Amino acid sequence: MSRFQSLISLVVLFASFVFATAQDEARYKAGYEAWQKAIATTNVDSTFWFVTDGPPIPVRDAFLELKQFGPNMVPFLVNELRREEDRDRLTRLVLLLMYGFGLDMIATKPGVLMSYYDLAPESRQLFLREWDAGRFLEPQEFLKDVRRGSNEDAVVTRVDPRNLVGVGKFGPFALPFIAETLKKHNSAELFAAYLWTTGQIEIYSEYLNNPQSLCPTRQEKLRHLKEWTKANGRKIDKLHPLHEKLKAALEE
Amino acid sequence: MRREELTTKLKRGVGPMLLAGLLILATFPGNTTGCSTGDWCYSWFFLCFSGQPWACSYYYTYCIGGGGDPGGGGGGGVPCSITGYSGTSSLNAGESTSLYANGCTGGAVTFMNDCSSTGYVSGNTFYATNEGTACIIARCQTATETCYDTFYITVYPACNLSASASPSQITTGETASLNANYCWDTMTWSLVSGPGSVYGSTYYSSQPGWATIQATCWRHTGTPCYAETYVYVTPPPNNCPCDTPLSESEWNAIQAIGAPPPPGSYAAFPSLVRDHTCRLGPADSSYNCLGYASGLNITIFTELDNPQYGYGGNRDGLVSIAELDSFCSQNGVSNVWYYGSSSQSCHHVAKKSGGRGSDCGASSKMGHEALIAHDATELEGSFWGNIVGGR
Repeated sequence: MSRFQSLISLVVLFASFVFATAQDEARYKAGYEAWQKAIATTNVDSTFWFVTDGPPIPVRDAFLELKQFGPNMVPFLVNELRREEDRDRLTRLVLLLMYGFGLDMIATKPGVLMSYYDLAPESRQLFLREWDAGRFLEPQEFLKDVRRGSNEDAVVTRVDPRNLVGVGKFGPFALPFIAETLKKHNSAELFAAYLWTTGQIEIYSEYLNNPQSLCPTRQEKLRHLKEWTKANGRKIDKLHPLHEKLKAALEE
Repeated sequence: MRREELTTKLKRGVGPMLLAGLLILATFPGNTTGCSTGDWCYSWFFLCFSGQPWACSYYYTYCIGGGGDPGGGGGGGVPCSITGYSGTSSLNAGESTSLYANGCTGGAVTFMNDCSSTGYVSGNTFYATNEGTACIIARCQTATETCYDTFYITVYPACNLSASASPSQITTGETASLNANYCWDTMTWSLVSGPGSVYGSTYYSSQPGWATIQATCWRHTGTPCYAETYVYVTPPPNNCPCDTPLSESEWNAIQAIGAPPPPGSYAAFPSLVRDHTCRLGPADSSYNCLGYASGLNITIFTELDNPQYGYGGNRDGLVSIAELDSFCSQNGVSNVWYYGSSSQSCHHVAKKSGGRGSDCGASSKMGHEALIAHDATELEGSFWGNIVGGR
């Protein structure tokens, strides 16, 4: 193959990538705007924004559509977060990243009950500061600090969701860390964090109250995570280098 | 022979002979059907000239020679025939039916009643008066002969059925008993028009308006008998005194909360009665239902699901009864209803009080929309769910 042919191949490859990315962006945009519009036009409160069952109300259908995209959509949503100027839309987006994509960015203040509407601007500011600093690309060290002192092998009868907040802040970007830890420890809390981060909310809710009912051994927990990664690879494969890191972490 | 002897012999011989002759006539009659004018006929006790042949027939007399049998074409004239029939073979006492005849060629037809107890004939109409079987005679009078046909009409008792509802005026949601008189057979009731429904002999109202109910008596004698009664259903009394009713746009905005498009096609609160609501405050996005019910006047709900707030939240995106209870307990909130689709998924909180009257005693802030008085149970029944708890 001549140098010219190689150049042409590279250009075609790059163009295909750009075209595919643009296509994805358009789909994300359409799905996201449909969800925002469904809430705005029906004026339904936040208890309906993340409902996945029950009657076919517009918000539920729009949310189910968004869930199909999976974590691949997170960078798009972060861009939307960065430029959102409407306070209502911003509040919805912050909660979407939290309940739809497992990124708990709410900056609560201990002992003070504040609405998400009031907390949304500051939460965005703090989140973007860490995002732009690249902490979500390399969260391992931070997560090690968060989990320092935790007994990862403790046999518990109930998982306290407050202990998952630090890990939940990184959402799917914490998955390689969770996988690495589960290779060494039988951590019920990190397994619960994995379930929440990946949107397996019904299993997560049950697991909190009865952690021995699902994957009681370390090997079973790791297998569950592997199977999810295998089944949902297309939802995470565009998050470089997260996908590669997760696959590497799951290798024996 | 002396005169006295002859008289004695005659008395002994002719008397018995005459008696025997009459017995023979009675035992061996001639023609046994109707006679014609000019016939001689006899009855059991006398001999007569049939100036009016129907009279012979009527008294069961018999013809002796001459005309006679209409079926046999006696008398040597044009054969006479007639077949009578009525418009209906059965009718109720008090009704009437037309009478017809076929076959009376070139003759005049008249009708007579042979069983006067069931009714009477006038011209070509039979008027039924009593239950029984009417025997109608159709007579054909030709130039030379007269012939007859008898046909029958069944007369059923008069329909005196009467129906009534008790009470005849009720309020929406109430029932009325249906009663009938003069039916000793099977009774059924059916709704002819208007709102509501009928089961057995009870009318169930559903909306205001006139209901027409038909009673049917299925008589063992045949044709059913009908009667109608009416019930007037009034709107329910409204005990929601309100000086500030919801405007059209406010009402529509509340009914559209979360509802699928197009607007107006789906009511978010289908059981909510507009007359049972009252505007207590304007639309306001600075507080919501829980903000109102708790007195904190902020917009909070899903926040209770956040573990960091200390209300037992599990961060599943839903607000459970346990999370609401924890919040209410810590903030001294009571006298509230929780609405939801399950114990794990609550969507609304209303104050049990704060309304205006018994029909709108509860009060709610409807999301970002108006603050209203309403009936607690009337918010139930849609995707918002039902009352699942409270304190």
